[in-house]
Amino acid sequence: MQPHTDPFSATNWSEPEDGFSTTFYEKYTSQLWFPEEIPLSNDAIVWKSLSDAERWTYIHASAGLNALDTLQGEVGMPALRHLVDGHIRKATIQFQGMMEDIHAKSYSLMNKTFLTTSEEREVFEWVRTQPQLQNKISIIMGIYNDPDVSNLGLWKKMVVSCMLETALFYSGFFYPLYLAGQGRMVSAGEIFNLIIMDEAVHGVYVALLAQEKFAEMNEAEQAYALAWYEDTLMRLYRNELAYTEMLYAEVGLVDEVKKFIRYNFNVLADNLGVERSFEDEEINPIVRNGIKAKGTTHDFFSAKGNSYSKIAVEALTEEDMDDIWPEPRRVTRKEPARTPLLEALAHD
Amino acid sequence: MQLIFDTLTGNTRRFAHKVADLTGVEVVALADADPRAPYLLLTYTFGSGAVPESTAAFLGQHSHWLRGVVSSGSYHWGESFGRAGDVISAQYRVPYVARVNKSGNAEDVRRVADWLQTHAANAAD
Repeated sequence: MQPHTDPFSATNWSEPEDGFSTTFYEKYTSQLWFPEEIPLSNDAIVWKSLSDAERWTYIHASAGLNALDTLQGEVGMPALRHLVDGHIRKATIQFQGMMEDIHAKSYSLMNKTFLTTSEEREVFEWVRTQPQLQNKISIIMGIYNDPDVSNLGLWKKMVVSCMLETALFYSGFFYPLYLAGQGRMVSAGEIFNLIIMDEAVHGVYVALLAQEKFAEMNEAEQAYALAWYEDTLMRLYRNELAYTEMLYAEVGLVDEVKKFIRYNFNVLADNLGVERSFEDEEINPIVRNGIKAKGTTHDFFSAKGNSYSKIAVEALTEEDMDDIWPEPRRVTRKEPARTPLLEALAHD
Repeated sequence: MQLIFDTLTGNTRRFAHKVADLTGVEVVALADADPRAPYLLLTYTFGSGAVPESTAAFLGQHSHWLRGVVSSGSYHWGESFGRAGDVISAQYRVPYVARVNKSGNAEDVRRVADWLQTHAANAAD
């Protein structure tokens, strides 16, 4: 550990390091949610009506996602946070890391709700031994742990983070969206939608940082970086195809999932500002419906749900007190303006 | 007709250039734009549906020549996907020409090119 040569500074939110990090930080805090706020009890009944194959795909898709979110929260985000410059950027990435941990807990809560203890153990053991899943994790982990922290090295770390969140998660997201699009497992579907919205913003933020790093490279480095990108993407894509064949064969959706993966790899390219790797394709309409599905709001006070917006906070003033208790508390005070409702209450 | 774009990630800029490649219309970045003639605005939607502040400020000054809007967005937002375009379209009573995912696909480019052509034909009438 090197001693600090410069004095340590505080985070100055009045003079942010760039024009966008504060916006992302505020977006994250405004869309914060916890899985405990979305009850899964209705889905527990639906769960029993699913076929064995449907249940198998659903729960193993989620368990795979749990491992990947755990990787992001535990390895990916701390690595990026350590290497990016700027207090606000570090804070934003750290918040992202916490969101990943919340996602991991969501998947685990689903297991707990839908599975018996022995089924749960089987799924977690499956994660530890599934070859394509472990291969995906070790490719990504290798980049995160790579000692190269040059612009190119850091760009690679940002890119694999985006690859995960914008493309590689989607083999897992497909099935819950597909069922939610048919009106099945809709509460869990809402959790998946919340996770997808989080990941969508994460993918844009880290890609913006990556675009910046890319712009700082010279031409030769950029050419190398793009060749590396195509090569790594194809490696991960081939792995994803094998993973999909294993995960979706029994429910007969392999080709639809592969299409969805390619679609999202193109989203990744757009976020990073590089050429798209695949031809234009349409998303499966049932999955699109699963994304569109309007959620319900479960908790009045926090207005949570996938149409979620965090409630705004405003300080109480004297006038509020006058509104709540319209009886004159101070005889000397001017009569406050009353809304018709409060007027009615006052005359109750 | 000009294409004026506002961008964060570069997606609307890339989309605008794809349209320009097909139609030959001029592309101008919002920061450099001072429109004195009809223009099509290309902007983006941030997260659950916000109009970017830079776009809102620009429209506050330059809505007179606004003829239509295109919004880029993320399909992940379901019903709020590309909502900035809905907001601008309603507020300024201009058509929402295209809602595009990220930097758009060939069909999106064609739709905007067709609109530009129809609009030019109508303006010449």
